[in-house]
Amino acid sequence: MAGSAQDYASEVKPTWCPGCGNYGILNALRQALIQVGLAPHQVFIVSGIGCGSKLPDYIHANGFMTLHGRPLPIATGARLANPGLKVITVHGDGDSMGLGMGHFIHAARRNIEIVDLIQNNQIYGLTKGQYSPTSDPGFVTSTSPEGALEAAANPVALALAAGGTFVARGFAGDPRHLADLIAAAIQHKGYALVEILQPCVTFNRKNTYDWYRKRVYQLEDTGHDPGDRVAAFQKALEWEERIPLGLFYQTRRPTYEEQVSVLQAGPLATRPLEKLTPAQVDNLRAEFM
Amino acid sequence: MAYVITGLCVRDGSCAEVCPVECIVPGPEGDPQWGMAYFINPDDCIECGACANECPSNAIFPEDEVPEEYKEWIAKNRAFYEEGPGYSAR
Amino acid sequence: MTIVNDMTFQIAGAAGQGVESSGAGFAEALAKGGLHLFGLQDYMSRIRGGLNFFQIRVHERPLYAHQEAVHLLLPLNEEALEGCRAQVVKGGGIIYDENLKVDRRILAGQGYTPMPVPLVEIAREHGERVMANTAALGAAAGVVEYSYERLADVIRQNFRRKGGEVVAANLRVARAAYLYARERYAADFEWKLAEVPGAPRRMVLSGNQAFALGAVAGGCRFIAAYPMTPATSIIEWMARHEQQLGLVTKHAEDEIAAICMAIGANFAGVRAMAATSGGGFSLMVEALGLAGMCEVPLVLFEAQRGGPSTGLPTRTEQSDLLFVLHASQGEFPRLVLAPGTVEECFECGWRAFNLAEKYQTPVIVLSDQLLASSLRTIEVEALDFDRVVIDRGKLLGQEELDALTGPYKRHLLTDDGLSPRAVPGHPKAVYATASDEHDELGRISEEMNNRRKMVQKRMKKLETARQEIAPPTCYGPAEAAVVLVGWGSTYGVLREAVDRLNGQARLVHFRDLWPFPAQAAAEALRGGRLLVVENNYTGQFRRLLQSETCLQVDHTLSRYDGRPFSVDDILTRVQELGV
Repeated sequence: MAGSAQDYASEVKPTWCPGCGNYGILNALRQALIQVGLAPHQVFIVSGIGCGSKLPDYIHANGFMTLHGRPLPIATGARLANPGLKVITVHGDGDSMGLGMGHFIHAARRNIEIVDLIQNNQIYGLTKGQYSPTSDPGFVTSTSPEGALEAAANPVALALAAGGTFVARGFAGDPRHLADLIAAAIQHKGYALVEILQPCVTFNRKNTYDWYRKRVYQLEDTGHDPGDRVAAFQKALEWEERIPLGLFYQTRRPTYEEQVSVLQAGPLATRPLEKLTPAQVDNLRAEFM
Repeated sequence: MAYVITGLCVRDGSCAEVCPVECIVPGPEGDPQWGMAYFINPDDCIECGACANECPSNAIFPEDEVPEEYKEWIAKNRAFYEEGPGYSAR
Repeated sequence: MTIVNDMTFQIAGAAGQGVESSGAGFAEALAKGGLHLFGLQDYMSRIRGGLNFFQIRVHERPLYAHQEAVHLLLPLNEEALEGCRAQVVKGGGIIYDENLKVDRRILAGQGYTPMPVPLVEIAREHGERVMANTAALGAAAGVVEYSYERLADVIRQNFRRKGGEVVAANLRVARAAYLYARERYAADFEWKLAEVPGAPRRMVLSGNQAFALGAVAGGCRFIAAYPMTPATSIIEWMARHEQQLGLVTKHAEDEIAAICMAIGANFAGVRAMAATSGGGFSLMVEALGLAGMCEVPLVLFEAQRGGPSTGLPTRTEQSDLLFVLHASQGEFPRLVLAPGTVEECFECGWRAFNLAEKYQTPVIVLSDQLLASSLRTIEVEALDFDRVVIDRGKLLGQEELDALTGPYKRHLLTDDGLSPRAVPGHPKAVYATASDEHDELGRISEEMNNRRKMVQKRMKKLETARQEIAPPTCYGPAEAAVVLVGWGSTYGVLREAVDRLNGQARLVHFRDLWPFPAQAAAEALRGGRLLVVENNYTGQFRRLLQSETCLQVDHTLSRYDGRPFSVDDILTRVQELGV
């Protein structure tokens, strides 16, 4: 029984700044969940730490606001315990591309069925404006006085390289299109990345709504074939002048859960927890005799 | 719950400039029915409050905070997009 | 004169020579004959070379500790002979391949009984060169005139998977070596081993194996871990039993992922654990606080080893106690258990999961390399599967969930601090929670009064949990001049010391460490001079005991060289006290 906008409404008012891209992301996520027909109790949103990671408070669904950089392994544990839950991770660029970079690569390799929403505003917002792994080179902030000295991390390219089976990018300024992307991600069997470009209206004066609007374009308007991984890589490298949005790549390979034999009999979480049978006990004891 | 532009609007336009999803459109200048204000599309509004923040005449409210005397503007904002010119007026 | 059924074997060699597998095989053969044993493994952190040994102490009565003196040494190379010779008693035997560069006259001159045997030749003649270790074991059995049949049983069992040919060859090799050694050396060798007729079948297992058994008996169905000595065997054992027991294991990308997966799995309603050693625990510290803050049940198994940093990866120590007690920022309730024997490891296995779910908080189980990997024979009933209880605390069942009204409060304030717990998936119990301070509904809150109540609520759980804590175990006479005080794996050696000290000392042993059983401790420790014995330099348990009870600890005995205490270490120290 699908949820309605009312079902997903939370009493808690977001603490985000007026104009923050997170409003669009919240809006799009809610639309997507309604679109695919999920009810709040079927959804589990796991976030990290940051402005965007407060999202679970602002939507009525199961949620867990965890640790900086760690939503993916926590979500993975939840999936392995109960693949009946639709698990969505929500975290920023600092969380996913900084501290959590390792877990991100492994989640993509693992093809664990998680929708991974990365709120990329190319800055650290909640801690007030330091640069981020996705900041453009040369971006000056309090912790990058000479400008960011490193190449920017590229979530789309990294996910492709790690074997990601659904790799997409959306824009918080176009929540309708983003909602469709998220809906497709929810329905994808496997790890599904949706990198979401969003401005930080308070701290990032470079990558503003206008800056993005001048550059973004839809991949589907160019006849891009999302089944072509090499083409997807090429598109992933576009950034400075033109920024592709939409589905870069999608394929189907067995998910992690599908390959774990024990899970084929159903989720561990919904099985009754019982003591070992006498036969099982005898077998175990015999191993040591 | 979308934001609503009420009759306090002075056609300043800052709201439209800051709207992240570009869902605020001015009514055509001089038009007797729509010319007096800008209008927010309630279906596309993401409730970010940027417009209300910017408005010099405090004409914008979240729907459940619209003062009694301006409540008719809730329907009017929607009507602009359903019956009126909508985005084509931009 | 012969000494029957009271001796220690030691097989020693370079890593890669099969010390462990041979030792384990011999131990099995002895256990099958109804003998008790204590198996001590000593190995280096390398795959080839170096010096590893496997010591098997044998007796008719149950054993709880190793002994330093060796009666029959089987060195597989010259370095092993050099390295281990000093432990051999006067008259003790040394079985070695004839071709090793060993001067038997020197050995004899030093008081040992050299027993060269053409092990490699026998292996080649009756089987293959690689079976030289089987020859060594055959020779050892021959020298002590132990039943060849028991050794043969083990050979058949262990090599069965390699096919009838291999089994037959190994049997021929073992038999030939057995006869060779017996003919030449048995008559003059004091120590003998004889089967005990009518003895019950017993189990031989390590602390890690016992803990794993207890855990699965107690409903653990998910483990995440990163390989780290000496905890790796837990996930490896569970991985071999996935299909049999319906459990899921995950070798995670790092320890942080491991603990996070365990937390996610517990959140979703499956009894889950993570297993590691000190270095891995260090990485897990932040997430430990997450579990405490969000009231997620969690069992964390930490098998200590020599620290700090990489330290002594394959050696034992008890130096993470205070770290584990205080780890992670801020304050939240945790339980810390430190089983002292194989039997206690089993019980701890299932008990830990009950405690974690009842108190909705992390439970840390401390073991160490000694307890993790040393082997003991125990009676089959000693691992009491019947007594296992699965108690999920205030976990809401289907009916209770169906009956819920209003918004579900995951962190409902209650008298005992424990909230009714729903796992995600039921339409009437949809909730979010946060690692930030939060209100009853799990929403982020910085409000002052709420904060106070939440801190009190969480810490109240610790008070409620006190009722679960076992008092220290006492062993020995009701009163004695010296009180040996220990925790965790030192139980065995301290117990034997008490036996040997004939009334001079008694033992008070702690296996539940937090909440600390202060009152029970004070009572148990009354009377006699306290000697705290622990495998660390700074006296961590002594400090804990003093701060929790205000008792004055008179004396300490520390060992921090990566080796376990010997009974002699204890006896010597007690003599020094001059009581």
